[in-house]
Amino acid sequence: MSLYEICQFIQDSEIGTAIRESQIVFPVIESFHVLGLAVSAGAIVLLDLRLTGLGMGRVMPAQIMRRLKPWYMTGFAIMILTGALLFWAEAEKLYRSPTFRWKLIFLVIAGLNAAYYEVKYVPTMDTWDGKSELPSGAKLAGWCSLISWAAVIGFGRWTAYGLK
Amino acid sequence: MNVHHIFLWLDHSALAALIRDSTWAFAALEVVHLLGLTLLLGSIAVLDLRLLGAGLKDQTVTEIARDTSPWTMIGLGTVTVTGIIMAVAEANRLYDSGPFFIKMVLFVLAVTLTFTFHRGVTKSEPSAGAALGGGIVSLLLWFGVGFAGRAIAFF
Repeated sequence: MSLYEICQFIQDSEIGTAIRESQIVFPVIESFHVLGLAVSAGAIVLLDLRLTGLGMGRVMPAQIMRRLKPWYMTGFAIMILTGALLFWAEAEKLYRSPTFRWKLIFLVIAGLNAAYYEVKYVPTMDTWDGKSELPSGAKLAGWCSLISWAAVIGFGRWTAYGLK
Repeated sequence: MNVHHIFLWLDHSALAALIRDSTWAFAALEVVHLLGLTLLLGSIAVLDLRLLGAGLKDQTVTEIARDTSPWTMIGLGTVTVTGIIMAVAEANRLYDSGPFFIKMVLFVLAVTLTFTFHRGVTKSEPSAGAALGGGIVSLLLWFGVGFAGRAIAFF
């Protein structure tokens, strides 16, 4: 079975069809997916603003991360869950959507960037004294995060527009 | 001239025609609207979390309010400008839209709260009761705006 046929199968399944054709369920899932952005990407943006030096100067990055991580991890869990359900309903259409592919590419980039930051900088974050500049790699990771999440959001909205 | 006439006039304006005739203008506006919304809701959510005693607990409410408010303002400016332009382009449809009306009412209430209560806490720590009340109402109003906005597309 090709990937395309698998996507067709998913979309045509009972659950996929039920979600897609319902008056309430699809809009509700989609709303939570879009508004989950505030809790996931929105919180990450504040951390990235600190890492890049653009803002949030009063709080140390280690504190932002420690305090906000439970929230944005919950947010991402909501994004993944609602995203999976939305994909279930429209898998075939999404397969044919070039903008959705770009969304996935940037999702992977954002994820890899986060993983890299986790491995390389999180262990040392508590030693940053707030008086000297943050390591340039951490700043770069902040910029990469801002750009890739903005791209995920942009391509996500563009995809929805194209599927209308 | 009544409100309906105003909406019709906007709908027939050159700006509206310009956006409707373009294949990408409206989508681009929506993308920028969404990015602004992420910044707006994200910064407000972090402040409201703090008001509720969660999130960035090692800082005072006033500190978080001062750090987040520039970003809230940038987000608010972005959604307002893109929102106005999109509303002009779709004025006739929006006039008949229940969710749009609800969204605007909630938006006015939310902005009022932000410019009064939230502005107030950048100057001095709120009492425990005010923090709890203000935080909850702010979250409900702003996420209400978000959900009503999504509903425009569906109903």
